[in-house]
Amino acid sequence: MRIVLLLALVGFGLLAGYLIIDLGAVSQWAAEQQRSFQNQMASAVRGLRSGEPGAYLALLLAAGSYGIVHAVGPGHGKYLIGGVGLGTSVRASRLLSVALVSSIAQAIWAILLVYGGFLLLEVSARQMTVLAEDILAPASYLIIASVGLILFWRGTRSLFKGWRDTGHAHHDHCCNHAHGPTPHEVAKLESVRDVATLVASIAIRPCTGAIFLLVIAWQMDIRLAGALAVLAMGLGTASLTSLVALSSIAARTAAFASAGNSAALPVLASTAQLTAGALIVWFSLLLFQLTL
Amino acid sequence: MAALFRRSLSLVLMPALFAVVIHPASAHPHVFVDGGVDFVFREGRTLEALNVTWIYDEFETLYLLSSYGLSLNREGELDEADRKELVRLRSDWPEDFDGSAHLTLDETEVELDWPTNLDLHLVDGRLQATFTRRLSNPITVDEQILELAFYESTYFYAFSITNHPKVLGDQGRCLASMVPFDLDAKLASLQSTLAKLSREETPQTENVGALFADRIALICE
Repeated sequence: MRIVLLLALVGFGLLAGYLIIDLGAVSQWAAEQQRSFQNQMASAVRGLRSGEPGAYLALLLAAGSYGIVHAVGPGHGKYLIGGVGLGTSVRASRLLSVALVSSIAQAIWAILLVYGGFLLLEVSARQMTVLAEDILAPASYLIIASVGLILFWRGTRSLFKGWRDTGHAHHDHCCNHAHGPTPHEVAKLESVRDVATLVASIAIRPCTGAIFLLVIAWQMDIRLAGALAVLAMGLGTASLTSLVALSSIAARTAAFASAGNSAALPVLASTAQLTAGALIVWFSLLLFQLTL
Repeated sequence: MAALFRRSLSLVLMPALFAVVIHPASAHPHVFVDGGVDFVFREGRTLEALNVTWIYDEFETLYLLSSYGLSLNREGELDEADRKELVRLRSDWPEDFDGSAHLTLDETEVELDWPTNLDLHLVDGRLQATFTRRLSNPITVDEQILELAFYESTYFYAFSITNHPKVLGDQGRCLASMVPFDLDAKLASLQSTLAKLSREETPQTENVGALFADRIALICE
């Protein structure tokens, strides 16, 4: 098993190196698309100011499309959702609702933050951007890292519990039975607290594009349109994260189906979970140190 | 054992793959500015000043106005009073301003004065800024090659020359021609790396913007 893990890690390293090179092209494409939809939003905003018919719809469409391409490139929610989908036996419906709810919550949080900030605290536009970039972004990465840690911890615990159960079946008295659930139960992510943490870790950091649009909408006095546009943006993002949720669960299901009913299944499940957890921790800490 | 190996491998690799494929990233540069530079001559071949033009994109324009607490009027244009206020506010150039116009004479940097004569207009929803950079010591151009590179050194702003360069004033026989930035394989890979930097990060490479700069070559006969 150890050799398998080692080989897998080497394989992963090579693969990662290869993928990272190509990734730049993808995020570059996404960045160009975002730029073009941002400019469409801007022209719709000007249209709204001068009472052009159709400007409202144009703004919502441009914002929704921006949300989709934004989720293709930057963004922090997808790899968490994908990691959870692969690493745990969460139900598809549950992960889909996490994807949807977290995107909408992210949009609502952005609206509360910007409009609330202007209304109650009279902060400036510049302070608003600084808040999102310097405080909320690192906070979000730390919460995501803690989700990864939880996954890693649970995976490790059930892995050792599995080994102990098979290895020392007759010395059960040395293990506390209340110690933990079975590997199958562990990875389901059923509790409200688990789901809330996932949603919060994604939603706490509003995307910069949403903040910019809300700042503009507040200043240009088209506040309702701005808020609705940011919700449309959230729906756009949700459509892509849902895709990630579904494909990660499909990939996991396929992998486990091929493993059949072998005795190694619980070990595989735990290993997948702790690997996903470790990777989530690694990526979020990587992002966190970049914000320092 | 072989089957178990394959399964374990796929289970371990797949989350890894996913984590990499959906690696969070946002691209450097973040603000795109079009524009160009015109050359002002006096008495034949003495280059006196550069007239620089910046044209922000539509979204950046609105964000910029909003960040100064300014708004568009009911025609979707900028009121004259607001326009003047914006000129006043923007005339206070930031300390780390690097000017976007980098002039070299036979590869030696030519010193430019702090920007003057800033003017701003809203043209087709895009904010257009024009300003002058005088040469601290005007130079008489003979056989030398003058080159202007249009960039911001950290590449947070990506400048492109979209206005054809003009030679103004009593210019003798000087000719300005555009040398658009050419993306070769090495730069393409650097560009990919930069595309993964977020707004708050600064590229490691010093003066990285210069590598992606559009240039203007000025030759006097």
